[in-house]
Amino acid sequence: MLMVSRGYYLYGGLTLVELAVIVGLLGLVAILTAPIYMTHFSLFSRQNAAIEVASQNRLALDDMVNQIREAQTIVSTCADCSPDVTGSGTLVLQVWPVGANGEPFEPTDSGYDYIIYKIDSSKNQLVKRTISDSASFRPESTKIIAADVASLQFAYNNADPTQASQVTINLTNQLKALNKTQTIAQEATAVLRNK
Amino acid sequence: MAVVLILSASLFGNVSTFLRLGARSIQREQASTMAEAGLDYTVWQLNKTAGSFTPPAAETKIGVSGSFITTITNQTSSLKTVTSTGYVPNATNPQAKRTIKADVFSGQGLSFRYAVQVGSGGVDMSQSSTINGNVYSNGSITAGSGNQQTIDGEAWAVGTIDSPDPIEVTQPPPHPSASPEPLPDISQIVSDAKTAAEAGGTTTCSPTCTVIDDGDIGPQKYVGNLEITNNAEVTMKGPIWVTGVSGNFFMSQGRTILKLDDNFGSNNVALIVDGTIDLTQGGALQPTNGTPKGYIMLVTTSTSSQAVKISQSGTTAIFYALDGTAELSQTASVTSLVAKTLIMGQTSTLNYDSGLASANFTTGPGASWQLKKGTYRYTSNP
Repeated sequence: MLMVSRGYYLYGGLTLVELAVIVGLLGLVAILTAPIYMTHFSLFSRQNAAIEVASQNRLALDDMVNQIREAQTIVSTCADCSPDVTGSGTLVLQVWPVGANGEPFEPTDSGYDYIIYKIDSSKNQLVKRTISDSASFRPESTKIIAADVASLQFAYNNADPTQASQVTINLTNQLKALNKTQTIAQEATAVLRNK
Repeated sequence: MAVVLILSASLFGNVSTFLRLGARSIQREQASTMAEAGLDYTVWQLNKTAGSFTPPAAETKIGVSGSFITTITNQTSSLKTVTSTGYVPNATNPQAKRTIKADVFSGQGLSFRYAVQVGSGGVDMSQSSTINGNVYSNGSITAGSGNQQTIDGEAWAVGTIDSPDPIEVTQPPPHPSASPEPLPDISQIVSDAKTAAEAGGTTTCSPTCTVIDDGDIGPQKYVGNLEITNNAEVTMKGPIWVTGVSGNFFMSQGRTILKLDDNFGSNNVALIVDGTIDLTQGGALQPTNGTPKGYIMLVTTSTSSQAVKISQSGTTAIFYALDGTAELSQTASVTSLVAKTLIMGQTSTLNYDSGLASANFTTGPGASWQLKKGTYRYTSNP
């Protein structure tokens, strides 16, 4: 410490060399940690994408399997189902309508509800469409039950799907993260318990 | 370093969430299987105990992976609702739980899944004849004379289908060249109905027993012809078997009614005719007031080309002519028909009742408890 005129003291600061050393050390640390950071970041992003597609895939399959089990039959199409027609990429299920108490009831004539699963290719989404009879309390809706859908295939245990009692679903989800595509394809089989 | 640690922690959280989701998904599926096991077990027990089974309140364990608890709610004497809840790994501390409900009924089940199901003779539809329901033909579906024939539903044929012109099928496309489908097998029901009718007593007719007054009929075996006429309103109390050298069944006059007793509820009862069925002079057959309705099923074993003839009649009944031809003409109206061949004349109509998809018959010792189609569902309120 130096005492200068008028009683002021001057404290010793960092010299230019010391500053250069500190900056150099910080740079060195940054250089050493950057690859670790980048590795973790890419790992995080990719794993996140993998988890995302797997979750989408599993939840969508569960939904379809449960609905198929509850369906009475597969129909080619229905009056209000247009333009959807049962095939390898679209499934039209006929189910009993639901009463005010939430319980299904046996319809008269053609008073059934219909559930349609199909892929919206333009948005890569799996769509569930619910069409209700006027006497049914099942809410009509169009819901997205999975995103990032690459393909959806239905296979039936009869050449004529309307006669089938079992459906095998093959769903593939795909998501691109940091130039790497995460793909998951799973298969599930469901029996129409009400047929 | 802090950023790396945060990312790592986040990634670890995501992975653990994903693993938990996967495990839950598997457990939910296991719980569904447990619930299904409970349902099947209950149906088995109902059959074993002739319907007197009461499920235990405690859970029934299946190995170490899970358990189920079932309850039974009586709707009628022949209809029960079974609620089965599956638990993984147990009901005390469940990690996954699924509940399934289904109605089970007692009786001889028979599936009339189509408004019309015919054998190799096929269906021939003439002008303005209409089938409101699905059609399955092991032959072809052809257009007779005229046009404006309609099938308001889907149509399958092992042979060809004259559609879209002139037969309009409202749920296209038609299904020609389909695989043959056997007709519903009613041999056990016929056998049981004959036994039940015979047990009610035998009446010998020479040659025709004629019912002209209001009253009850059946269970009864008639040897000879049976005719109901004179605008009588007759209630059918049990199976009827018309047999003998001729063994034909007639109804005549417009207000003559043969009604199935409402006490049968949703159960159907058979009227067996070894000769022909002739409803050309009027008369009507009526079901019960149950929900779904119980129907009279007229069965003929005749091989005649006119085994069943109906015209100008509103017969809300099921007709079965396995080896013969059924002929509907003019304003005839029928609920469901199974025959070797069907010929539909002008303006005749078939109005299918979807309740026939799981028709139930009362007679016979072979009655069993079984799942009622359409009632199986998941529920969030066990």
